[in-house]
Amino acid sequence: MTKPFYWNSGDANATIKPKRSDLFANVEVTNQFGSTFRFREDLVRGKAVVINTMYTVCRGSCPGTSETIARLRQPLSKLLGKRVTILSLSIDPAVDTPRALLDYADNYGAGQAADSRTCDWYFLSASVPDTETLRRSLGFYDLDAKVDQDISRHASFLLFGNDNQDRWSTSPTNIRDGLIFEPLRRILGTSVHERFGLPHPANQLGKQS
Amino acid sequence: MELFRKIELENVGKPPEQMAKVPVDPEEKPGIDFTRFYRELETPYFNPYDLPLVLQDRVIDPQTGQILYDSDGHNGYIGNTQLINGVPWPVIEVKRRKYRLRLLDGSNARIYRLRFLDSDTLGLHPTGRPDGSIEPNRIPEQRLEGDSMEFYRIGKDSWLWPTPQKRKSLLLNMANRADLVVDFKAWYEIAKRAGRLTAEGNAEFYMVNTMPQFDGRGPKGKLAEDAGDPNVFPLPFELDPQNPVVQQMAANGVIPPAFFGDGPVARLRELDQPIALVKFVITPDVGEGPDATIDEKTILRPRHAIEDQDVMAVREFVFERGKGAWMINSRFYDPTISNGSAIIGIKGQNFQVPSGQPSDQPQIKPSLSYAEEWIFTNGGGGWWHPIHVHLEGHQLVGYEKDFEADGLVGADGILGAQAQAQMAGLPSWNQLVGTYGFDRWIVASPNANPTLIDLRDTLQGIRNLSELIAKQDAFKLWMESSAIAMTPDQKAFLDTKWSVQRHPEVLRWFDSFSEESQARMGRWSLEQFYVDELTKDPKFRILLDRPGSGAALFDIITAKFANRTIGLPAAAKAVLDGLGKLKLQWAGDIVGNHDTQALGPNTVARIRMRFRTWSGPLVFHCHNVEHEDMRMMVNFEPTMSGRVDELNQHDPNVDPAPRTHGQDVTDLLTNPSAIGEMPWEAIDGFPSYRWEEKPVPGTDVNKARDPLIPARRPSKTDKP
Repeated sequence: MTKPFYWNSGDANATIKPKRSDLFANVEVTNQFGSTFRFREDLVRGKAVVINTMYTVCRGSCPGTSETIARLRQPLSKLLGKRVTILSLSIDPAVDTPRALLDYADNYGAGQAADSRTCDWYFLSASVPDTETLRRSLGFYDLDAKVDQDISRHASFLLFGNDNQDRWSTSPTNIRDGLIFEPLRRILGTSVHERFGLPHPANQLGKQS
Repeated sequence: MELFRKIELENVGKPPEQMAKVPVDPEEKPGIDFTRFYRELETPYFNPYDLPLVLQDRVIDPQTGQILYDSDGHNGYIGNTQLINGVPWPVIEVKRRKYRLRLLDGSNARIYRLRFLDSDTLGLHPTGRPDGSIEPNRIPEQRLEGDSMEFYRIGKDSWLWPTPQKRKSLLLNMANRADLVVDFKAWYEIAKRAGRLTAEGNAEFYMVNTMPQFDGRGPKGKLAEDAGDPNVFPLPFELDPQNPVVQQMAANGVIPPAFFGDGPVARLRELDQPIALVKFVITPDVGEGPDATIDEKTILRPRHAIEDQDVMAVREFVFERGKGAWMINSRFYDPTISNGSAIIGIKGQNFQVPSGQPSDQPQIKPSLSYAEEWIFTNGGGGWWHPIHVHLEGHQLVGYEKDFEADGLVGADGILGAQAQAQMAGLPSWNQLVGTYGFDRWIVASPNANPTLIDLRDTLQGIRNLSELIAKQDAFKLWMESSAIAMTPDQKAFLDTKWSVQRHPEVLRWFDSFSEESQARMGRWSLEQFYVDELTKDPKFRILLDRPGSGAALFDIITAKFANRTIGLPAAAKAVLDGLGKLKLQWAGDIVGNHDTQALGPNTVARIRMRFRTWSGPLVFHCHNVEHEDMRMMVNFEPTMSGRVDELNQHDPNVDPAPRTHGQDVTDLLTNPSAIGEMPWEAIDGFPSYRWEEKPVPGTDVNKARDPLIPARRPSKTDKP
């Protein structure tokens, strides 16, 4: 029996298990504050993330999606704190400079660095080819080339996952918040209390005393 | 079994402690209390000559042997390995007798065309190919049909057909089932006569798939050169050879005549390298017990069609891709509300225009024991949707495909060469005219508009009968100079004074000339005039050469010439309407019932259902898992209301006793009888659902483990 070879490591003797996020492009991305990250290694590895695609001048689904995420951010922060990051990837990087993204983010309460209780929400931009690679590696594309090229018909669902447990899922955004938050909690949470929305025993003890 | 039934009858009405125990082998089924309401049968059904076969395609990781699935993939999972009952390429040893095969397409997005071929045809002769080549055997389509083995198909999904149908191939859509009776004895004899028995005296046959499909959207025919075009596989079922359109296709060579030869099946394009799925090895042993006696005359299950007058309501559902996910009627599935349908017609009431406003979304509440018609429309994009309606079978009454929306028609309104080739055999307008004599019907109408003469080539400016009559003298001169032979009667009529009131007579006069003379005189047929006029309209130009365009043409013509009062007999319209769509295979699709309706790109399927089995919240959904997960689903709820109200008084949109829809079924505090759903809001600051302290109904969450999805087992190479 040959040893399993995990292609992502480049090392035939590696014992790291393959993960869904191995497929994510590890391209350089810049957030709205000008900080630079490697997408996979810095932003996804070992974290819980909620990912969507957007562009600032969108008049279609983006404002609604951003609105939804802004609403979900508060309970999400309450649930998971800093362990979760929201990543909004611009698919029109030629227009969406970090400065433009900052202005856009400001509309949804992400114009300033998040405080210690609120999860980070980064609006990311990358070079045009990197954006294309990243978007495809994340699954935000359409098999129909015509639709895929039409930026106004871009996929506006949420891709969310917990890299530690390698659990990933997707959800459309223009449904009731509860219908989005339920799978978010189930996928992103780590304990049963987080995942099913039960009061944490420690908190209960605290309340009783 | 007898004993079981006897005990069961004795137990009726008794309290549990007095019930007689059903004797079972305690070692076989330990710990099962058979006095409870739901009991297992003493002996489950088993018939060694009844083979259930589940067809699935999967991607298998060669490193781990595990099935790979990309949970983030939204493009329709199709696999490269065919599994039959979970086994790749199995060999099934069967006896020399009739078997019943129950096939299920358990694939996510793959559609099969199944055939049974012998090893020679497939190119897998046990002694090796005669020429020793390893090039796969390419099988011409005619030979494919000719060499396929015959079988009886007796049903689809959970429904038997009225009678068995002899077939040579079988189309199986996602989530659909097929019931076959295969006579392995006859096949064995064929192999024996052909000298193809193996050394052990066995005969070998393969079940193969010949459907061309290369991505998760749907099958692709060979007509299109663009590998991305999924649209040339138009129908999810066979064509009806009784249908005049199909007959035209056959007559014009679109469907090779050989396909009609042995079985009543017209088929579409197939792979010339079939993919073998199962190998059947027929042994000389005939097995035990009497063989099945089924044949074409066996009556299985009579069909009761849902007629027009039975339909209580008509609803429409549009399936489409939206925002990277999947919508029905432009909405994503919400489990707590009935969110999908706009009703477009109710029996006994005036036609209602759907409002389309989400706030006004009507509820889908059919009445038990009454029938409805649902119109499923696939918005295109090349995707196939197998639509599965829970708990009730349906009848398919219409299936129309929009070739224009498929992109077979170019932007300039002209059919592409491929489309021309594909549709060449179907009747065009001109053929219709020739076949059904529209010419006469229309002209015979007393109200026909006098636009029948075009003398542009002879007398400039005269373009219709009125002008001609006004310029009768000039025409008379031209006639004399043209030396067209006239009989004395014709000459006499020309000499009389024409008037507008004499239109029919003038027409009859024109008609009395030979065609050749008429051509010289410039007498154009009415149809030619319309064609000429309408060709300026790109849509008409498209339709002109299209198959089954009659009904659409009729609509255009009546709209365009509405003020000219064309008289068209009802019979002509009936013919046009009939040709407007391809009819369905009578056996499988008209006569049979369905549980799941495969909906191809740019198609409209009309189904009828009679709700009989269950009142309560149900769903229907696309059976493609990625589509279903991404919310291509709708709630509906059959109610008892139809039994209470008068037939015509009942409004299927308004239920007298709404149960769950429109309410929050999760709110058990205020509605203890509601159906339980998982509570979803326990976070402070989130819109309040009073659920923080409540456990999940029926589940002790404190016993739930963390993580619920167990971690992967460590592999041997993992470091401790």
